[in-house]
Amino acid sequence: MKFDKKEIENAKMPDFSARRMAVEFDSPITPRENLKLAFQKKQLWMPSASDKGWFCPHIIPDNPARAFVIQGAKYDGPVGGNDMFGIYWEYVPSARGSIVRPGNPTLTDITKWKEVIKFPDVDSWDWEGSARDNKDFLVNSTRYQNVCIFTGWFERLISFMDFGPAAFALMNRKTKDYVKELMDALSDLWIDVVDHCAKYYGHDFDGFTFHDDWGAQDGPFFHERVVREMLVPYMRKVTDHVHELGYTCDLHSCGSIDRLVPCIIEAGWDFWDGMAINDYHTLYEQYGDKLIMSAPGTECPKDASPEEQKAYAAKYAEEYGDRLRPALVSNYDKPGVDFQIELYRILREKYSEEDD
Amino acid sequence: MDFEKLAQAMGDLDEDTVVEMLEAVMEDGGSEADKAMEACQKGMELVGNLFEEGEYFVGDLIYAGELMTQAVEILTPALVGSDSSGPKTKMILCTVKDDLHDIGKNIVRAMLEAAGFDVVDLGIDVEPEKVVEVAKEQNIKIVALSGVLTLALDSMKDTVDAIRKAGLDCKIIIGGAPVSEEACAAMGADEWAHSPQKTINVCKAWAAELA
Repeated sequence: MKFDKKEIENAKMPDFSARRMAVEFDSPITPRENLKLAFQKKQLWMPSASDKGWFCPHIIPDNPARAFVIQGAKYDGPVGGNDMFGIYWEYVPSARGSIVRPGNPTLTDITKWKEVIKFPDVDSWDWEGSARDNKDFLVNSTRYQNVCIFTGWFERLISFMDFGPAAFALMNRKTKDYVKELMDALSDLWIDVVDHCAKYYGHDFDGFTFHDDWGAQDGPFFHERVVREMLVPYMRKVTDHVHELGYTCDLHSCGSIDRLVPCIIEAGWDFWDGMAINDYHTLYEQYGDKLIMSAPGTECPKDASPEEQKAYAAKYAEEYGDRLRPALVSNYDKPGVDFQIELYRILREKYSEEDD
Repeated sequence: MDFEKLAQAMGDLDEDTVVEMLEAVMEDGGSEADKAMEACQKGMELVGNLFEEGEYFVGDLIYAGELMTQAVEILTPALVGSDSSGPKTKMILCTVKDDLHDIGKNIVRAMLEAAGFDVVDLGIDVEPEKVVEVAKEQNIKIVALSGVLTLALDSMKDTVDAIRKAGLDCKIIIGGAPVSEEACAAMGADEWAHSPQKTINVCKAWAAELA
């Protein structure tokens, strides 16, 4: 589709006070459709990290428990509380999130997990009501909608056992087979949730985001050897199933985990939503053709003049605008309006010429 | 008994070898238990150094802490009454008010204990007044404050202020993701650390000054 200057002239400017950072261009397709095209390496412009949205319906008990209900239907119920396993999450207002208060874990002996951990009855959640109430929200969204599973594999083990015992169980030769059984059972549960989403929301949404933090600011929690043995196969079981159903897989994993990116790819994730502390420049060079990541920060100073912003955008487009290696414009450093407009123009024109 | 081998096995997180060697030490009632404990402590230092160098990960520190706990359990019957169970430097460790994270705190506790400290772990979400109360009661001279949230810096400052206002002569170290040299100076703490190993080194130096 040919670029038309009106796409920029008619654009809707950001409202930083409303935390809407991205310029909304009058594009021939929506950002959601553009991101879908990125999987075929046919995107019309460089997508932004903010083109992805989380769909967190309240019927999945983890979402209110973790204080993340994002849906079309109004939700004014409580936040914090029991997750789908009956584990209590304490809402911390200052952090605007929830945490399982450590010190009194539900599972103290991993060998007893089958007796202690009660898996949820996914059928009992009000899927029909949620599908009905969120139909318009999902269908009309211009953002790529991912259903969120907030507590993945290792994070779930932490919620059962506390961090230290969970990490020890995962690494200990005498207990890791029990952990593997539990990880496999969690994968079966996620597949059940995925199947319910597919059945009730159909293709009104686009994919799944699973949260599983693998590191802290100073590095990963585990060596890749541990991650490959204890987490990757169980994730792969789910990502393969999701792909068979025609959806995409997004991993939200915090921490400085550059060296685990090969594990993320092996586990079948299409997107990785990580933190700015990772070396995205090197990661893009190494893995940009295998995984859609946020590109590095724009490096454009906040007080840059419009001309300077345009120059930064040209450099950014040169470095990260390869259509065959799609990346997402990072929002970490809140790119300025002139930067966004210039980046859009450059790559919209470039890709349009490539299609001719 | 080759105690260098024991230290290396601890450093390598070789649980089978560590347990086997410690049980061998205990076969005669533990006449060399103090040497075995020193070797384990040396092994823990190796673990800390490997973490600093990026060779080991948080999971490895936790594993080492669990291994050290096992070692202490095996050796304790022989250590009671020996020099190794003599007076240790007592110190306070806690995660500050409004912060519920305990991962870093627990790793540091295991490493401090391995280094010979008697750690009074006050837990998480700890009020400044509680720290002051325990420091007074137990005449504690070293306090380590942990936190993960940025907001923890406010609670750390409140705790430092409370300790200073109470007139307690304590050395205070702050640790965790949000701390920095600037934060340390601004709140009047004595030291700061991102890594467990630095915390251990600082506390050991302070303990030596106090001895």
